[in-house]
Amino acid sequence: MEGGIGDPMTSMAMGQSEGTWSITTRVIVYAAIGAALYAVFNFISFGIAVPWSNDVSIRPHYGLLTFFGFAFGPVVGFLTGFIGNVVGDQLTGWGAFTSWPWSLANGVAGLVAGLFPLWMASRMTTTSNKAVTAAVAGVVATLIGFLFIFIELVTQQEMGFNAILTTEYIPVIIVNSIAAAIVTPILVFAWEPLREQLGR
Amino acid sequence: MRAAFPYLGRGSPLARRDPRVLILAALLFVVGVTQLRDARQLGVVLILALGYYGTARIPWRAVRLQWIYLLAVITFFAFFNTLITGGRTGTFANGETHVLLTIPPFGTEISAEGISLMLSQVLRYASIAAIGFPIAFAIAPGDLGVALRRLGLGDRIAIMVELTVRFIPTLAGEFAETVDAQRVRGYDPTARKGGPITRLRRLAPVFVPVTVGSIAGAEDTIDAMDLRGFGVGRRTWSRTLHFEMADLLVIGLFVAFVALSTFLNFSGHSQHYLLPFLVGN
Amino acid sequence: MAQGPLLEIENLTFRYRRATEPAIRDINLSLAPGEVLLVAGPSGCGKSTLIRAINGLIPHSYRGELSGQVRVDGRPTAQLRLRDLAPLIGTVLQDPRKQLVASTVRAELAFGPENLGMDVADIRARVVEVAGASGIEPLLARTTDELSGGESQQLAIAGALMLRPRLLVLDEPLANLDPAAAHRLLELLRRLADAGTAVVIVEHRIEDVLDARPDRVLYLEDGTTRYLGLLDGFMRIADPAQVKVPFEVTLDRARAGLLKSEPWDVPAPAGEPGQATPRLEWRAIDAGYDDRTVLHGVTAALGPRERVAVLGPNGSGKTTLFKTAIGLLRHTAGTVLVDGVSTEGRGVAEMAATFGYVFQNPSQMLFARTVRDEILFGPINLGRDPARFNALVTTSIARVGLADEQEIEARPPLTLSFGQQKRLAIAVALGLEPRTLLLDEPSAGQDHRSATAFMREVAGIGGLESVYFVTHDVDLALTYADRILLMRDGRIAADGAPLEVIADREAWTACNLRYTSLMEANLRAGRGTGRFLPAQALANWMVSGSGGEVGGIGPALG
Ligand SMILES: Nc1ncnc2c1ncn2[C@@H]1O[C@H](COP(=O)(O)OP(=O)(O)OP(=O)(O)O)[C@@H](O)[C@H]1O
Ligand SMILES: Nc1ncnc2c1ncn2[C@@H]1O[C@H](COP(=O)(O)OP(=O)(O)OP(=O)(O)O)[C@@H](O)[C@H]1O
Ligand SMILES: [Mg+2]
Ligand SMILES: [Mg+2]
Repeated sequence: MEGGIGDPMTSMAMGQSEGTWSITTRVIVYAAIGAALYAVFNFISFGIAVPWSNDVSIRPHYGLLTFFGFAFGPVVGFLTGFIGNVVGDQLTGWGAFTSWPWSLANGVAGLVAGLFPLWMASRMTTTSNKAVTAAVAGVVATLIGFLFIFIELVTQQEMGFNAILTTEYIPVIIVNSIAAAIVTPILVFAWEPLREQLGR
Repeated sequence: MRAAFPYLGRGSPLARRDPRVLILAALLFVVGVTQLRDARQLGVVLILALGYYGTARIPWRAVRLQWIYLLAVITFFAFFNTLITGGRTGTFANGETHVLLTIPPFGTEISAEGISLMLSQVLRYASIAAIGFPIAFAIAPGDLGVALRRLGLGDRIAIMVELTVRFIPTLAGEFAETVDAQRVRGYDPTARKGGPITRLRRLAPVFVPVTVGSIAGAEDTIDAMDLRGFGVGRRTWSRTLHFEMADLLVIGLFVAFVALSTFLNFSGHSQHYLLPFLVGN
Repeated sequence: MAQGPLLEIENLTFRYRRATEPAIRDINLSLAPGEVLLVAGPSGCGKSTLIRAINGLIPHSYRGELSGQVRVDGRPTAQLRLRDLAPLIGTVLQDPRKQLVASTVRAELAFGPENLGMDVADIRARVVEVAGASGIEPLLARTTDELSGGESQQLAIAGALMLRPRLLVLDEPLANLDPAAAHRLLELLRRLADAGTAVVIVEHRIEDVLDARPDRVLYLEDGTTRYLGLLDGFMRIADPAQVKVPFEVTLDRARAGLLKSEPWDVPAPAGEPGQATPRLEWRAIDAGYDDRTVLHGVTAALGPRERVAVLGPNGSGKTTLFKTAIGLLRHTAGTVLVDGVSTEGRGVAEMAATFGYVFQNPSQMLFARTVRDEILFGPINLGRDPARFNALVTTSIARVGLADEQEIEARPPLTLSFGQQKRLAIAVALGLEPRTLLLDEPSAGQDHRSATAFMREVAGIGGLESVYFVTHDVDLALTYADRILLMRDGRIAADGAPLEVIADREAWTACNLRYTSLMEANLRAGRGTGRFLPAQALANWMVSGSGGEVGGIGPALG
């Protein structure tokens, strides 16, 4: 994605038309902020583990990445989820133990959430049904994105399909769907009116 | 809070290494250690890994929380995957399982094999964690971006990670400020009452201002980068990295480790080890 | 050096995509190398927009409707790409912290040249050179997140200089600097201009910019040129109520009888300090963060009916001092007493009944969907009586002068202008019906007029017994406080009535504070007026030679 920051079209295009997949300065900055927020909130809320599952907790920060995807496009969504999760894992001490399938899953979730506005642009007339779309997008993105944790079947020998399904996939999609369904709309409601003002 | 992502390893032998070494070492180590099954071998590896960790001189006080959380989760993890869900106990030499006790109601079997599996998992993940810590705490601020660039990532992604790391302390500070601002209005950030939905809702007073505020601020950051010609054509990195002897030595050791574990794996010298005392012989 | 103008602007008009009105209209301007132009005007008049048009962000990054032309070095910016403009124009944006993109000071300086693919050796050499020229060598080894507001500002400017721009534009560069630092910066800008760089400074604190000896002034009002010409010409027409000009200018105006003698309404000094038990008392307080002590044995007592201003350099501990008062930060030694009772073991929420605390940055706490919900958040948390909520909302809004906004109660808080958000922040505090307000930098980010108006309104809020505020605007503090706390290195450097405190020149200058023309004038007139007067009032007083309009008109406290 070389070139383009200089020329008006790409630098102005954001979250629509040919700009959707290009890594412009805006994409980089929004993704960096998203990832940083994700890491910080993760760091702060880490430790609130849900007893009946492993490294899954009440993850309010998860709603952030679906929001960033939804509000700023699939690329931002993916980077927020992927980089945010890797960096967040560094902060909480996981280091190399950062589970790449999980990071990928987060990234894909953000990406999918970012595709919805492209599909549903026509539907999202008022702020409220934009918020509803955001909630739906968040949940769907979660269900799809976290299918990627089944990559662990390859990367972790001891794990059987049932093990991943019952101790990872199901708990995580429950907790994350709730986070996405609650937090994403809250942020949409707060950001929409402001975007209207700032918008370039 | 300002101290999120601190450079704890400052000045330590490991921090003096080329930042790429810490990243490569971790990646190589994962490749190696995931090939080992024998709990005895993994025990030795853990001790070596802790030795490596020690050279980063990360003060225990600062990372105590992370370690406790980490070990707790690792144990959980291993416990569920190997005991409750039976994991892959079949992977033992002779497929048989020595059941020690059965937990109602589902008649979940706790087997000697399961416990042995759990042990090797805990050992493996603990050692991976030990090797991973220094990436977060012994790479100097500003070195991560260039390190990733030199490891083959693109300029833009390298810069993006650099930006992420740069924003973290700032945002952590703003987070703390916002919590204060809301406490003055009778907001209790520590309240744990209610189900997940209520608890998530209760976070809005902190979540919204910090998030929306930083997004609004992004406009200036974008301008500041565009105005200094960011993103067009190749960029140079004035911070240059080059491997010294010591760096190559460290990487060499990890390569050797990968080679060894690969050999042990394929020559069948790293089978799951059944703790003898569990099967009483 | 190029002959002819470096910057030419012809009939420039720009409307932001989502705006209905143009932000700037028919601007014409040309700037020669080595010239310093001061751009002034009230908040929202289009200063930042003009800067975006000059450095090419308009039209390259901001969409909207553009007519007219901007040429740099003879070439229209619309046809150049931002990266071609980068080496020509250096820009320092309004908020320095937001434009630091690297983790370390060195990397920050190198950022621009790196983007243009400059040779590494050259970059390193340039870093040293620029750091030297802009006096930030001491920072070279630091990381950017630990820099103070002032230091960030200096670094942002150095970063802009790295590309050796021929035109330098700065958007309110003095906002975060204490006076001493501001002086150094302006000297640097002057040197650059003398060396041939054209400089555009946006600033409404005219008096403070004079050190850079601007050649010309462009004065904007709602997007159009009100004045463009030489500095002294501007001084003759400038309205002291709008912009902060040297006191002499105001005085001349008064002499010529051109100064509206509007009754100046700083409320009269409230009852003598210390006569009652203090509202807030610090006894030998130590406090700090992590392992670092910031406050060292601070002792002070603030009366229940006083208006107190806390002044001091960046990082001297002003905010920290306030935080200890309401228990946001636990002190490590000494005692804090509120109305004579120790705060030991009393929660932050409990303090909220006595103190309304308003943070420096309002958007830091605004989260609700409507202004109404925002104001009621506190009362609900503290379980106040819902029956009174409607009254609570309307009175709080009215008291901060937001009542006449269109259906304000339903507006999303974050869509209000910065000034309005500040007012809302106070309304939110008032919603808890405190008896004393603690304000952290109420004037920050507002222009001279709105800051003054704002303080006047705050002073006039009914039902409030006392206001304690932190500020960097010296004249504002001296005018609206009847007592000054001077802080330095976490200690109280001086404590007393405005005129007493400024009479001690050592203490004052030791705190990186300078003497404004208004202060000098007040010192001279001090005996006569008996208290510190704002510019117009003092000028009129001097002319009419009597305390004429002086005295406590307007609402008194309590
Ligand atoms: N990105 C934008 N989109 C839409 N309108 C904008 C945008 N930025 C500014 N405006 C509007 O344009 C007008 C001029 O704003 P501008 O920021 O140039 O004023 P200013 O003189 O810089 O104010 P201040 O002194 O507060 O910085 C204001 O009415 C503002 O609301
Ligand atoms: N949350 C924090 N964690 C660590 N250090 C802090 C924190 N807040 C402030 N400090 C440090 O304490 C010192 C005093 O900070 P404080 O904000 O009280 O100064 P201030 O007088 O309000 O400065 P300013 O005029 O810039 O607002 C500074 O050196 C600052 O770096
Ligand atoms: Mg501006
Ligand atoms: Mg402060």
